[in-house]
Amino acid sequence: MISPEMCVEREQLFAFAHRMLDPQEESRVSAHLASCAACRDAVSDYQRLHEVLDEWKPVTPSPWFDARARARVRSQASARPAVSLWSLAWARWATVMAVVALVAVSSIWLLRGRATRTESPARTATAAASSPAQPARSQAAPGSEGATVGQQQAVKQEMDLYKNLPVLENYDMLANFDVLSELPQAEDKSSD
Amino acid sequence: MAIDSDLELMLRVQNGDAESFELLLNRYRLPLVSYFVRMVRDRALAEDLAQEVFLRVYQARQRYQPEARFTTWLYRIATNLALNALRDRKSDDAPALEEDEEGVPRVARIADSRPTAEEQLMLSDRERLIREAIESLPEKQRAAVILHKYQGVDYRQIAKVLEVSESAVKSLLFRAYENLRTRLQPLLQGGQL
Repeated sequence: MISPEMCVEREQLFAFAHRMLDPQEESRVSAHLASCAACRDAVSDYQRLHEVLDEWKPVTPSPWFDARARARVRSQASARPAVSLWSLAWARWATVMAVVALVAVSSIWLLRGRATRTESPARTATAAASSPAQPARSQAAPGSEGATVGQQQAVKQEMDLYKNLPVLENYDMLANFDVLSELPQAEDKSSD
Repeated sequence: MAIDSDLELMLRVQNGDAESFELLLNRYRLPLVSYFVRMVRDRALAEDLAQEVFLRVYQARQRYQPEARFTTWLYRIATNLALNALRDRKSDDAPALEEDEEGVPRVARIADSRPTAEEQLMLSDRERLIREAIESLPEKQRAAVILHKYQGVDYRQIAKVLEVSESAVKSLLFRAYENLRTRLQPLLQGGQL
């Protein structure tokens, strides 16, 4: 219990007057008020203050208030058809699915394109390395010391031939081209 | 016939029932306009803000969560609009406004705080003194007192409206009523002006 000498704090009296205290606190303050005139005056001050504040009367809205409020709401309601379409669940799902499908198709297309680009130079290199090797081997077969050099020259010649394709169209040259008959002559020259 | 609760009406508004919206408009038209008139003083602005509250309720009808009380939601929208309007006005009148040490605007010096001729006729001297005392409070104290005293909102709900703790609201209300008690001492002592 709060003694009359130890008055309740002003904030607690305010809370008591406005029923903001928990039941235990309320009963303690109530017991103190029974024996403290100063604190009772403070509480009744708040009650008088409320009576005075009641003198400020509310205002009545103007007669056109409702009409204006309705008009604003109506204009808002009619101005949003696009948004209401989006609010439909099926429309949202359809849009999301379309976007996902588009992304998936684009990704696959891009990946395929990249794979083709990386494969084709490898294939060309393999073809270039394997096809000239065969004639080179046949030329190196005689077992001379300069076999490796001969192979390289043969590859070079063949590559030059590929590069100078119009030569293949020269029928006379091809008809007289006899590799075997040329070889002994080259050997003869070198022995000289 | 049972009176529909705000919650029931709001749920029907969510389903597109225009009649329920009309009932909410009728129910809260007077409280909202009175709240704004007391908050911002300017009657035309007060009506405009009250209409804005109804518009926002309508716009946000699909997002309304029935867990909270309808009036908490309504007064939160209203209080935010009122505080914004006061800040806008304050920045417009910045050079003309002065505040005391506690940030309380000196209302008597605000240009548009003077009552119009119509208001002069309608308000008694006592009423004017009360209004000026409330208008002299800092914005949040003013909102808390008006909600508590005139709108019948209890301190727990005010805490939700202002998004502060209950103990903060108790303290806010205490300081506000103490300010009013000091300013309105002549009326409390039963003197006639």
